[in-house]
Amino acid sequence: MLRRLARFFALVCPPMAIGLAALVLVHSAIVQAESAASREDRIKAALVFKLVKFVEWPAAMMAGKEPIQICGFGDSPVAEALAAVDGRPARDRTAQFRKLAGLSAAEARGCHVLFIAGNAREIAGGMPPAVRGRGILTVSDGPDFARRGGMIGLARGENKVAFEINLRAARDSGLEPGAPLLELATIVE
Amino acid sequence: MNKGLQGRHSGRTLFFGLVSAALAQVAAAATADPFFDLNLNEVLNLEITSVSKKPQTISQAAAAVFVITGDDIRRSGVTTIADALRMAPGVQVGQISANTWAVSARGINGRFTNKLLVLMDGRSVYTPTFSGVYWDVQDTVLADIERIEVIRGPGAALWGANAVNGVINIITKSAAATQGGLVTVASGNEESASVSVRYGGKAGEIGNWRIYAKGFERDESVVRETGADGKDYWRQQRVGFRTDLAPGGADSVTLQGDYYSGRSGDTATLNFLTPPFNTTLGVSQKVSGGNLLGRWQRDVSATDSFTLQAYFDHTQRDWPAHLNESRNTYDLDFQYRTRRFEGHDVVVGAGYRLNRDRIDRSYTGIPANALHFSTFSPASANRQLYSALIQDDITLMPEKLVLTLGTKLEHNDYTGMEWQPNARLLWTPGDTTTVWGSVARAVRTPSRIDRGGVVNQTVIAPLSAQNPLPLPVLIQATGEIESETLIAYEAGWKQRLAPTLSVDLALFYNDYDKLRTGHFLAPVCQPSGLPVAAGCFMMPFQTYVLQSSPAGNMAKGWSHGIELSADWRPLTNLRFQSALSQFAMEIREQGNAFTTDREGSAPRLQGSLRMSWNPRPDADVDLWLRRIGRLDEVTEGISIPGYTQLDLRLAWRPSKTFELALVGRNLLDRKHPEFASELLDGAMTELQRSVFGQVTLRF
Repeated sequence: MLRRLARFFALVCPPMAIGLAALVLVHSAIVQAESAASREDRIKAALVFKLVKFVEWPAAMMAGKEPIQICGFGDSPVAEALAAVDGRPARDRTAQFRKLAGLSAAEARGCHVLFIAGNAREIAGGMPPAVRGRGILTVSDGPDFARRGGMIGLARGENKVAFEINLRAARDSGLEPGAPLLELATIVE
Repeated sequence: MNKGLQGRHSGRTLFFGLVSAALAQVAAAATADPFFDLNLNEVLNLEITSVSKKPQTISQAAAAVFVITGDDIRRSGVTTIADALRMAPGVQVGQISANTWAVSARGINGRFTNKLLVLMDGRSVYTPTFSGVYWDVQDTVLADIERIEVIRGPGAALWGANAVNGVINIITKSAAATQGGLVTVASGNEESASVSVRYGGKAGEIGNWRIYAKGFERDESVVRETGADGKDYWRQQRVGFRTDLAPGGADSVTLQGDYYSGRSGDTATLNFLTPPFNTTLGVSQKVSGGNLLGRWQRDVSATDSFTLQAYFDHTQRDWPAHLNESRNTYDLDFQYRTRRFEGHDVVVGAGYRLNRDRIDRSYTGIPANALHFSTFSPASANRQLYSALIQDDITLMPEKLVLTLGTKLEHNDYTGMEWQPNARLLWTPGDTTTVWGSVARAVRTPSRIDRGGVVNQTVIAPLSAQNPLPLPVLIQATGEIESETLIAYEAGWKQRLAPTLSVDLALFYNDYDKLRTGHFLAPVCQPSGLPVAAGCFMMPFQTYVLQSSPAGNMAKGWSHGIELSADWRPLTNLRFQSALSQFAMEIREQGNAFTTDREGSAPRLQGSLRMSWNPRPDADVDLWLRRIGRLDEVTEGISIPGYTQLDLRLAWRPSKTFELALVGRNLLDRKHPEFASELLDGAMTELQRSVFGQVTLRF
């Protein structure tokens, strides 16, 4: 068995070395190419946009025909990819993207959905009160976001993006996630 | 005049305004991510990484695709990949012995089915020795399989030669999805013992890994005529790993490998030129192999990405009386995808494969005077394959009509350049309806046995019912063949009739040409070489009569069929999945040629109905009913009666980490036959009812 394994590795090593060398070559050739949102980030952005259809906001936030504001905060390719929703039809109106400079109540005013970069320091200690209980759907790909006071946490499932809902946090804020959303999500609270 | 100028001026402004608006629209469209156009379910089903050339949601693929999910596999209670394929419509699975299967799509089935391409995580497991798949060594921890994509119809424009009747993509879960430990132990009357252990962990901040080990021993089947032991026991051990790393936001790198060794028992019919002329003996095939695969995917920009994949595969098989084969495969594949041109989604690719083999005779455990079943010449060969592909999804009407044009161009050492184009049209009039059509050409290129191979098929004893001569007759196949070709016409309709009910209908018409045939030459006496017609068997010192049948490409064929699958979830805890397939084929041979592809090797009708019910969230009840029609002729004079079988699985999870399952397979009969090796090179066996218990523990 051991000898066979040794023979196997003797066979395997030269081609893998060539393969690795090729990988390194191609990598260095294109390392200057622009870095952009990965497929995973694009899926996350699309998911954030799709949430709009399945959440009921308090009537006060849906008055008139104002655009649905999708806000992004923090340094994240997901937030960048999300910028492309600007001008897209969303429900019976259009979506508008806005990048926030901070997580203050004034900055977040008018946001329907707020995506917070998972690596943002501002949420490391839980959800800042400024964006709690104001009818803003908070979404993030930070670890255990929904378990730590956020509403919707994006997580990596079996090679797919999955999401968790903190139903209590959403309802405390006057939001009602629709049944299709609850069916597809993991409900954490 | 003044007014006129003003008018012209405002006209120009309007013109420029329109142009810039149009350009802005074009720019917006070019940067818009098509993911935003999918519905929620589709977004959740998008894969983060995929080995396919272009990840698509199944409901919007312009092909007859059926997906067997990891959950389907778990709930079906199957213990092999080949058995899992029975869930797909349009796929024929017949178990020949405890460790051999005949698997095909859209007919022409056999132990050596040569028109179906099978890939595991992007690695081809189709053997170029005889064309076909050694199903006894295609395995992994079944719980680690994410899904099996079954594509009926040619996939040659993307996957190349031999993807004639279909392509099967077996895709394992990413390491991130298999974190923690999993131990599965099963035991029963046919599944004597099976243990798999898997453990997955994190590779720092950049990725995940898993390792696994699996071993099993399975019981023999029984010989059809005598009820005796089929001597086809099956033992195998296997270890493997997979790591998935995402060092930067745009890169993902996968490295994976497996090593296995084992023994697969077999009954071999041995032929001799001296008495007893034929005898059946239990033999043991010794198999081992390993592979290592690396894949790097990179998103170059919002519209562009590429995949570079390299693998090495080693297989070894000592099969007494058949072959002693050692094969190394080196494969390099590159694909680049771009959506930078508005309305076009283009994939271009290039690949290189080197096959180095040595195929000797094997007399392990058999008499030295037995005729060796197959001989390969030359014994050792290097075969190279170069390929290039281009495919373009052209949006004719945004979100409504897409035309796909593509072709694969391959150069192989046997037939030179092969051209395999494909045109597909996809129409999605609404969210719930997909209509598609396709025309494609595919080829089955010759394998080692098809060029310079000799098959000693059988010896007919002298003065017997089939042979009145006083000398034994050796039936021997030799010869050279060209590529077999297929032009396939397909159409399909996928409809979500209600949120809980969807149906998928596919129709096809296959037009085959240059199918492999044999034709008998006039028998001659050996060693004199004089014709039997001249009475050579009366001459002294003649030892046998040689009935040679050179191979050629002297048959045409037509097949057509309908495949229907439906998925219905009447309640959140109850689901029905059904698959129904109708098939018909006709083959026409030139002169006295006979084809090795049998129209009667697939049933005219087959159906499957699965019920998955959760009476409580912690309990599963699964029923699977299959009806397979009669196989008129799997090979000369051998038919298999139709049969109905039922599988049942009951499972209970007392906690999130612990599951107990009881599985019964083929419950309706004590034993039944499903298929026979078309070469009649072993005893025909029947499968017995199987009952086993399984314990799964996660930690």
